[in-house]
Amino acid sequence: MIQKLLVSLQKKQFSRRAKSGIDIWVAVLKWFAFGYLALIFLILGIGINKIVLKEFDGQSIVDVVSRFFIFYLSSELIMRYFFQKMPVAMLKHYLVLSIKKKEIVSFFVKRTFLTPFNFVQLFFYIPLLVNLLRFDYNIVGSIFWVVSLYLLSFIMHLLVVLIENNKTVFIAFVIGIIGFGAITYYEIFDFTSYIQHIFSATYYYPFLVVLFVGIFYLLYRLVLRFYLSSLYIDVLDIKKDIDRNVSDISWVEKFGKHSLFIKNDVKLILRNKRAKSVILMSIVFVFYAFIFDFGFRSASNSYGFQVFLGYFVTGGFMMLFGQYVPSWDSSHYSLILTQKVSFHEYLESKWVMISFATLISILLCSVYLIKGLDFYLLIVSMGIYNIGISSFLVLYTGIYTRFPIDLTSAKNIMGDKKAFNARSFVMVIPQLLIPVVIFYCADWVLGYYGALGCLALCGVLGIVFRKYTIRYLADLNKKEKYNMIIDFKKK
Amino acid sequence: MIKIENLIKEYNLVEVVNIPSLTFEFGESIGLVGNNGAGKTTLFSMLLDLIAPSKGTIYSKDTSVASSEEWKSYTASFLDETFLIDYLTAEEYFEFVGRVRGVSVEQIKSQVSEYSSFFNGEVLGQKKYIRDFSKGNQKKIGIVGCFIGNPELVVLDEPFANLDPTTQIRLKELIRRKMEDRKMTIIVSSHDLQHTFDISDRVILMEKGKVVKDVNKASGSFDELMEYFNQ
Repeated sequence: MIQKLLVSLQKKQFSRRAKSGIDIWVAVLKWFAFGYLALIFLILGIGINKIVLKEFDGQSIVDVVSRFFIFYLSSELIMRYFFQKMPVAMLKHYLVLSIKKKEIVSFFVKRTFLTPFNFVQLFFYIPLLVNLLRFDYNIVGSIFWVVSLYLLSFIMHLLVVLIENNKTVFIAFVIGIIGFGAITYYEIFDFTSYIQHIFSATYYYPFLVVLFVGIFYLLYRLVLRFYLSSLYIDVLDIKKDIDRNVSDISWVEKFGKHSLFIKNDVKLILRNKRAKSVILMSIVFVFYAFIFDFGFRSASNSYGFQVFLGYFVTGGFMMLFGQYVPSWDSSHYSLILTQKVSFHEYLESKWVMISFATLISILLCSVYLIKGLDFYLLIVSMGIYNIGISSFLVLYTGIYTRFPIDLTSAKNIMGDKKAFNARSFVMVIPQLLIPVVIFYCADWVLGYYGALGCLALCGVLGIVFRKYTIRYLADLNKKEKYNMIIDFKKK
Repeated sequence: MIKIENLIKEYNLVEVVNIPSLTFEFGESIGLVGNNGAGKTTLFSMLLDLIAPSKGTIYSKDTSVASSEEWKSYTASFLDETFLIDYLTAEEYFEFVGRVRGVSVEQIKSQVSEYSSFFNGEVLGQKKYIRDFSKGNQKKIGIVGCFIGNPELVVLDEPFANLDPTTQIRLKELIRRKMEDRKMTIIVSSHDLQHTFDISDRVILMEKGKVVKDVNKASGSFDELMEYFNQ
């Protein structure tokens, strides 16, 4: 009865939520990602026999899959950490109703399993199983093996719920996996040959599947207990700790007339968990290009791709912060609008901050000098291009990417928005293509260094004529302000 | 000071505000009363150019608030918590709004210290972010923020709600003190007739978006207003 009621409420919540154009894009992107994953899984699943035959000269499919499974599993965990959401916020409404706490929790924990990303793995496992049976693998072993691998996905699901609040554990895990991958990749020591036995165990000893079920059940109980113990509004809400660290940031005064706003933004970043993650992610972006040292060497040789890398390594902060201007100020936007603040000053101070962060990124990027001077020059010119051109494009998209940012919610267990979300990517595509096009056109006429010069020149021109761009953006902001207030009040 | 002409705001063909003509003089304290849905907050939002009117214009010092931003330099307002920057401490917030109004840091400090009795020792020097204060204390911060730099026009929406009785009395004293030299225009909305009557020269009663009574305290009486709500 109560279950039915909860289900109907969930349906209403879904169909009546505030929708905007951007939400549709996010939905499209989500299903696109689903389709993409499904396709890759399907190809892998169907072709697994050929791949194993060709690349691993006919070893057992079970062994090969088991050997690499640890890498798949870790990437699944990382993806889940960023995208899996626990809709805890809504639990609050049910606390004082006459529903047993256990019932509420078990309903919502079960509900979280219902996401397409818990079923997409079947696109791999079903053809894998068919293949196994077709090639005369042990029937019982095959079935239990595949079932246990699929169970691992659900175990990951629960694990992520548990570590969601514990960033330290997550970061330790990521560092561990990267180190582990590096050691294996550079053939220092191959752990995989030992770990594979864990994953292949259920094929050789099918009864071990009991262990997997046991782990799953144990975690499930743990998650239930975790939520039962946090069903209090003070736990569900922001944890309040008095006597905050009110640090001295008088150095910001050096920014002159922009210092008043920049000071606020620095505080915004330092004091709000959601904004703080922007800094963390920006640093990750700086070292982004190193990822392509593994695996994608051939792709990173293409110039277009390098321009793309240059955009990312210098533009991390620009994208992550800039695309949410003015949404960062959504919680006090009425104040901004009623004070003697012109949009021009407001936007220019944001731009100064983005430029400053981009400069720091360029300096940090000097580690790429180990990949050659040419690549670093490309990064520098893309950095200048970002300051002069991309930053304004990002600020432009920010005007239309507006939604209320709940600054405090990112970290606590009810946070449903991560710093890194799909909205970010939809808007980024055209911004990425323009510099690549400029580069290729100029490269064709002027050669590599000429093309770099061209990108930098575009940036310099953008900086010189920024007054006009900012004026345009300020007018746009003014035009949109009534709609912004409405959007910022949507929950 | 403020002149409202043919102001209409409608949502889906339902009028929520319809004021053909209304004027507030400089140095007046005006109380706006009315039941829920009377259109008080909507009127304030239009006065502050946060909502665009469907028709008509609001002039502040003879310039339309929607077309010029001149009014911002002499107007301070506190409608709700979206006027607070919740990750700042109270002192930092005062510094921000003060500096935007062109008040020096030292002056801001000395002005804020005048309000220490209003805060009842609960707000200043706490090293606490605004979001961690109770609703009542947040409101006090917002109200005091308005008075920094002594702007000519102060707009407060429901300032008495959520305040404890002591602070309600102190707020009334504060507003009366500010009105003494008649260099400030204060517009306050409230559900509480008594409070509004105590602090205002003029009480305007709104109902369903329309002005139904405009009483000057010198000529009208509290009972006259009370009667309206008793019907």
